Amino acid sequence: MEIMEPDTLVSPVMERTKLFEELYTTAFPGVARFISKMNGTLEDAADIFQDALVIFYEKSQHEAFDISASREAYIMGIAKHLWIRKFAHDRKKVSLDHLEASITIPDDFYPAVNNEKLLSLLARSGQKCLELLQAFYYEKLPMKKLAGKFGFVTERSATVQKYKCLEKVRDTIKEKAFTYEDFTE
Amino acid sequence: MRTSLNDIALAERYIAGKLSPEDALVFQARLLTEPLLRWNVAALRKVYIVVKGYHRKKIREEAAAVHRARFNDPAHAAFQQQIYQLFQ
Repeated sequence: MEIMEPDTLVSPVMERTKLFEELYTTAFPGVARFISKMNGTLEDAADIFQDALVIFYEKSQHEAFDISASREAYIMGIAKHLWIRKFAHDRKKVSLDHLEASITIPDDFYPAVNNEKLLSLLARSGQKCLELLQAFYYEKLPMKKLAGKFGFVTERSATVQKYKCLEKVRDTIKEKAFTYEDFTE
Repeated sequence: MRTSLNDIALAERYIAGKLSPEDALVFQARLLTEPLLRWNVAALRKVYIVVKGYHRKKIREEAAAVHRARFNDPAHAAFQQQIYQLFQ
C-alpha cells in the first residue's frame, strides 16, 4: 500500500482556512472595534478585515517577513492603512503607532480597472489555465503534484501544459490589447 | 516543445532574471530585432499580473467563506453578539 506523504494531506487552502479561522477569533474583534469607532458598518469591517487577511497572508509568505509584533497588532496596522485608503478624509483621525506606521500596502493591491476586466474575462474563458498557473506560481505545487491534480500523466506533460497555458492567456491578453488603453511597455 | 513554447520558456526565465548573462544578451538582441517577440514578452508580463490578481481573489474568497461560516454558525453565537454590539 502506498503511504501518502504528510504534505499531501494538508492543502494550502486548508492551512489558510485554519489560519483565517484563528485570526477571526483573535484579530477581528479589535479591527471591528476600530471600524465602529470610525463610524463604519459591519460590512465595512468585514471588507477591510478580509483584505487585511489577504495582505497579511501574502506578506507572511515572503521569506524575509519577520514579525516581531503579534499577528493581531500587524493585522490591525494593515486594517488602519486600508481604512485610510478607503476614506482619505479620515487620515487625521487615525493614529498609527510605530509598528503601524512602518506597514505598507502593496502598490498593486487595488488592481487597475483594465486588469480587473481582463481577469473576469479570463475567469470565463480560461479558468482551467488560471487555476493551473495559480497552483504553480503561488501554491508552489511541484510539477509532480500539479500533474496529479490536473490529471496529467507525466510531469513532462504538466510542464508543457503550463507553457501552453501561459501562451493561451498571453494570446487572450494580446487580442484584448487594443481594447485596453493601458497596454504599454 | 514547439518553438513558440520554447520562446515562452525562455521569456519566462528572462523576466525572472534567471538566464545566464550570455543568454540574456542574446535574448535582448532578439527583442530589439523581433517586434513579435517584444510584444509577446510584454503580454507575458501582463499574464503574471493577472495570475497574481487571480490568486488574491481566491484567497479573498476563502476569507469571505470563513466570515460567512463564522456568522452563520450558532456555535459562535457569543462571538456574533460581541461583534453586533459594536455596530448597534
